Amino acid sequence: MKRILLSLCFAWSLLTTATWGSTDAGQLANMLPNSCLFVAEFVQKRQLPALPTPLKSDGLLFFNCHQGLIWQTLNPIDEAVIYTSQKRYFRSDGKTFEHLNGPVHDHLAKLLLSLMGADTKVLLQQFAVATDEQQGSLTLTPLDSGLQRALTEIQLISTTSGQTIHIANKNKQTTEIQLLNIKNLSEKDEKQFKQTCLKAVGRPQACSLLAAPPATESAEGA
Amino acid sequence: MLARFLFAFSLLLTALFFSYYHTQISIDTDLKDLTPSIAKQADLSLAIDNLSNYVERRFTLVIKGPDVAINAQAATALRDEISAINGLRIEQPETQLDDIARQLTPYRFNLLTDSQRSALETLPEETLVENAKRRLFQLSGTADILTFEQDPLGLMTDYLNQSLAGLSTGSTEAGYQAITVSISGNALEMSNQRRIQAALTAAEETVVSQYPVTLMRSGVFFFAAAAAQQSKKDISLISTGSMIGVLLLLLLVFRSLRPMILPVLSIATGVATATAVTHFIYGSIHVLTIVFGASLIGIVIDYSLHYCYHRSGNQNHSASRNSLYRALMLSLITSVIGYGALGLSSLDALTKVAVFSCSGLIMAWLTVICCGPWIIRKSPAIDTMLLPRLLAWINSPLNKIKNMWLGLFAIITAGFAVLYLSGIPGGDDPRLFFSPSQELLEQEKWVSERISDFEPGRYFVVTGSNTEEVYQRLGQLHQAQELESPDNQLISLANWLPSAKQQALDYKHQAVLYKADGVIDTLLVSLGIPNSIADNLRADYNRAANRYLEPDELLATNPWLPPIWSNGTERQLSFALLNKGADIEQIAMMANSTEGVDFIHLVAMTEEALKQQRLSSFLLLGLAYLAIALLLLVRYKKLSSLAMLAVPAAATMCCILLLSTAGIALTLFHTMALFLVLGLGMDYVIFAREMTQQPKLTQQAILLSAITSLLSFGLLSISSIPVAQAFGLTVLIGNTINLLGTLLYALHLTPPPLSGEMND
Repeated sequence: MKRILLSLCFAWSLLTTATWGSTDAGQLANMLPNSCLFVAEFVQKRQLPALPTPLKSDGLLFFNCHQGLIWQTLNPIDEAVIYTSQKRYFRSDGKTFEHLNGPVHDHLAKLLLSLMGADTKVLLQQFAVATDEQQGSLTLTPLDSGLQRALTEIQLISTTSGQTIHIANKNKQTTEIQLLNIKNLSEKDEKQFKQTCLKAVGRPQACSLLAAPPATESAEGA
Repeated sequence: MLARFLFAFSLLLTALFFSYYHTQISIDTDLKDLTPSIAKQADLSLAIDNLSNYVERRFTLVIKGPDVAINAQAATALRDEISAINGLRIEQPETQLDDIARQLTPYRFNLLTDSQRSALETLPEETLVENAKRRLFQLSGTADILTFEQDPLGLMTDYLNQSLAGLSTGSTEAGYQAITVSISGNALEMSNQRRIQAALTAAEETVVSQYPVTLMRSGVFFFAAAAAQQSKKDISLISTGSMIGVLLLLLLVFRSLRPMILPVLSIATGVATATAVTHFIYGSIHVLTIVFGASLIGIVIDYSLHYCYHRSGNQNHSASRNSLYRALMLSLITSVIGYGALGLSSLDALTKVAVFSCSGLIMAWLTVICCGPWIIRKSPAIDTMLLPRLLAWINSPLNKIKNMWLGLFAIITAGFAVLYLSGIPGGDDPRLFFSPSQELLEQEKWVSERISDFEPGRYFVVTGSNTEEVYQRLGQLHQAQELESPDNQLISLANWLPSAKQQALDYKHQAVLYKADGVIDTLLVSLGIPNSIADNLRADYNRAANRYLEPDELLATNPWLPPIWSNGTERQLSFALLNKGADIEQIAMMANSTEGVDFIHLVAMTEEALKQQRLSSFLLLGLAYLAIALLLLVRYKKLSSLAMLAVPAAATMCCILLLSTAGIALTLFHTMALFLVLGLGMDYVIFAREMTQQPKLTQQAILLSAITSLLSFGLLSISSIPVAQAFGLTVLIGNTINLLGTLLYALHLTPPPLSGEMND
């Protein structure tokens, strides 16, 4: 009898572990955009302990699950950060661009591309997930020590108007990113990638860099 | 009397040594002992040794599997297992980077990247403020290392990210996880190594049994441990095989246990004293010394064999007894000359073998001289069937060789030998001395291709009369690398820490930021931040004036960094390391165009040093022949006595011919073994000459000695260690010719009855 009970307990724990793992992925997917191609508005608020008020910026996010994303800030600065799926990263002000290198951009690119692409497999490999059912949020805590140097946790909150991402780092700085008016684009739009990009963000250089990222760190020109 | 005193004294010292040190006997497995010093200057040699020790003390384990999460769990489990092993410390790359960042932070006012310096030099203050504000709105600002109050412009974050990027080890890339471990204490001491290897294997097995992963190993430690394991097997085989073979042979010949007491005793005392002396002088005993020393059994036993044989003859004849002792003395001297010449090599391994062997030979000889009369009180019975028949069988063809043919043979052999000597292929590549397992090599290659690290055997050394000069030259080297070889990466101190002079300049560059109403003040006012933060920053900046971080301080506080800086009394030197996979030929050219920069290619330099050693060893061999020739002239006072040297000389020539013909490239260890061929040859030929009263008995004793030696060296020649194999094979061939040559000499070249020879 004892043995049967033990076996049942063991089987139940296996079942619940497997179920729990799939619950994490499911909950995560629900919190994240679910389209391969979309454009959204973002509002970013960055709070530093030393600052009396948060630093607010806004802009447009253009995401293509095959190519990467463009983070186009419009106010108060006009510049785009391009994170490509080929692991080449750039900053562009429309006239010139520079290559972005280093572990910070590696981590950020991986994080943003996974979040925007709802790549739950990659996210679950990098983060431990905890649910706050009351608040309706998920908290991701980095497992990788390199990532822990960059941030301490990410909180995902889904609202009627869109998704909110809170990023906290060890210096008690927080960044809140609200994604609003997420507009999914069609497969037809994907085929006309460059035109779609130009129409969405209006920045030819950024769209060119996303479509065909240059390999070498050579001269930056319009 | 003197012999008895020396014997008793040596025995006492040996006993004292073992009673005090028996728990501290250390067996060294450092393969560097097999290579000569490649740097003539002591400071460079020391610096290279320090860098080599750094490499030897670290190894990497890589966990490979299809599931990243499982790899991470397996890595955690393995780290836990390894943490429990005494003497091992897991390197935490991120903690180490945090430590170095923390150490650099107080000096942040002295540290700028090239682009930051350029911006401060060229851009107006308004633009600097604008750029700083822009940065605050960028997404990458979420990952600042320091707080806003410490580093509002994020300069230190960018500096650390750039300069420490090359130091980041380990990988979270899908497919594998790497763990780097450092060993405290002597990584290459055998008992320590064995303990760690066993504990590591157990830890790995635990992890592999729990998770579906495979483990890859990389590091000098594993190669040394494998070589030590193999050496241990060889030692067991050679010593056990030698001992059993020799004892069986003695039993067959003497048909009694009592005559075996003397050989066993002489071997025991010889080996014990050899171990004590070598360990006392060097503080440890190298595993290769033990391997070579195991073959000593075959030589040491000669003294007791000749003693037993000649005691079985007319023992009451004092002239016979005196001849025996004289022959034993001459034999000892020539063997000591043969082995002692190894000590003239600059290879630590061979010097240790020389000390071990000479002390063992002397002690064994003293044992025979002092204990022989007491142990062998009456003449032992000698087999009259086996050896005499074997001797007759060997002598049968030798009897047919006439003097002139013998002479002709000697001349032709010498002629060929000269021809071959001028074109003998040498095998001086140090990699030929080891035969690492294929599995280890493949794992090493796999790990090296993926884990970012530096080439351990090829790098630049930059020297200068002071720190600033070294930094200038490092700068020139980096510039040359960027221009001529941009695909390769140079890792030097200049990547992590600028010179004190540059730090002073960068401090001045940052004055524009921290001065009253400077960039910081303007920025913080525009953001509505209280003045106190700017004031605190300015105070920190002022306090940091004239405080510079020096390279040796950085390296002393971060022992996990490679030791690439050395402060000498007359000069400073620094290493610039190369990334793995670098184009070596292209890079080596850069050393030619930069003053004070030399390219170190350890394998090539070692090869050259070994080649010089090999060539000079022939000169030393010539000197040894000369020394023995003088000894013979002193002893026999006749030029004809020099004909005795023809035996080992012919053996040496035949060795070289046969090895070359077989396509075996001669290494230093082949040539060093020729010294032993000389010693053994003289051993036999001296007995043949001295003991002419009982020629048959003498020849049987020589035959028995040769068989025991051939047994020992024959076993050595089948060792899996290439250096031992080279040594054994050369002596095996040489000693066979020694035996034949001695028998031929005894048959045809024995001089007429001695007249005018020195009396006792």
